[in-house]
Amino acid sequence: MSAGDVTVDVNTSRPLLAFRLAQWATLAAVVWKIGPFNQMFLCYVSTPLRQEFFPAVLESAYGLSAIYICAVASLGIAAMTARLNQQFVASSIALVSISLLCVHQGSYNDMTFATAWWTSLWAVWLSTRLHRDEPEMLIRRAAFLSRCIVSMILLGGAAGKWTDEYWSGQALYEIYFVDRDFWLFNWLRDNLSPDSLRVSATWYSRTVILMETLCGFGLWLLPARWAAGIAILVLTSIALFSNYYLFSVLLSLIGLAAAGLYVKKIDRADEPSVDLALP
Amino acid sequence: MKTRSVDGFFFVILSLVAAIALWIVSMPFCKFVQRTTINRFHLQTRSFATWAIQQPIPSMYNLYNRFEIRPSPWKPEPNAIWASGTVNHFPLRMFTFGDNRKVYLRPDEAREIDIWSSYRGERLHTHWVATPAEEGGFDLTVKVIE
Repeated sequence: MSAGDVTVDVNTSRPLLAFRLAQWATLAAVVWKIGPFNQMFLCYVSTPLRQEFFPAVLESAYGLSAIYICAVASLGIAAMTARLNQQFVASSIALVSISLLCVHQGSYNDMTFATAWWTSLWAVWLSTRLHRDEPEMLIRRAAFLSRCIVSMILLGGAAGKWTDEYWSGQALYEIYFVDRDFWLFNWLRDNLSPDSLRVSATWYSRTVILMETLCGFGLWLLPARWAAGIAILVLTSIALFSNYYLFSVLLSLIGLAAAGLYVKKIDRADEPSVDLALP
Repeated sequence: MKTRSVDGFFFVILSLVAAIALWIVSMPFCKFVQRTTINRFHLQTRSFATWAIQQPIPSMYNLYNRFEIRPSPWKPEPNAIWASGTVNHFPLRMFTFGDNRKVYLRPDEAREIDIWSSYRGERLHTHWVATPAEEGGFDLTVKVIE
């Protein structure tokens, strides 16, 4: 039997459980906005835009649709199949599809695909190790890599906000507080004076900056289960308190962060460090 | 029994994460990183390939990005600005993404959009014109203002 035909017992393999959860979460992220994406596709068909910057194939609405369907199908197969070779091939196709979505004229700005790209890259790596590595060592490594990626992504969000416009709250005030139809901002507008609303935008913005900065610098240093729990809490809170559509950006990261929950609880005295050494 | 084997892929990804983290952390101090990021947001990177390889760099809600949309050619009259505001990232999305084309573009009518991005003193202003094309849709052209 070749390595590609090998299956791993899903009941005992923590790395495989983590792999599947990340793939399901990425699939959920990519289809979270399927309604708006459908409207978007119809709009792109009726009103094409031509720019010198993009290759023609990356301006095509039908091309975008085909790539999107390919991403969804391959993520679904990767999440469901028990065969290791199929997990690798499907994960790789998903990664290529999501790479194209990151650079297509009609989807490049949507961070859904940037975060899904990192989760997919991690999944491709993990799929190459499932039949090779001892599960306990592999899940610790997978969890370490997952929290490094989540830290780096939150750091990216933070660094772009280390400016006067975000620290003063002006940028998020204009984006969210002025007229965004969302439960928190509607409630604040209904209950605060204009001056107090502006002050609340400042503290909201500073909280976001501090939270992203702290997690960006610190998350990867924490023990696996603590890092996973905090990351899931922070990522979920970002969407719950700003925009439910952001779950399309965050679900894949939540699935990625959850890898840390599969690391076994052990006594601190016996806790091994992450094994980065080459054999 | 499973054994350990060389896991080069793991170290490649870890190195990539570390390199991008360094890039991100240097952003407040390094003009090159600031200019590269602003150019990326305005699709002003020298080549598509150079722009494309930057796309995995996380940049959600980065920079202060504003836009104004007007009819074209623009006449400086009262109420001539049709839409304006602040966006989270990649401000040209007001023409390119989602159903914004349906909202802001009308068949046979040209439109202009000005977009501004800034980060700790580094700025870019680009002016885009969407001109109706004979084969349908629009041609989108750009002029860099500053």
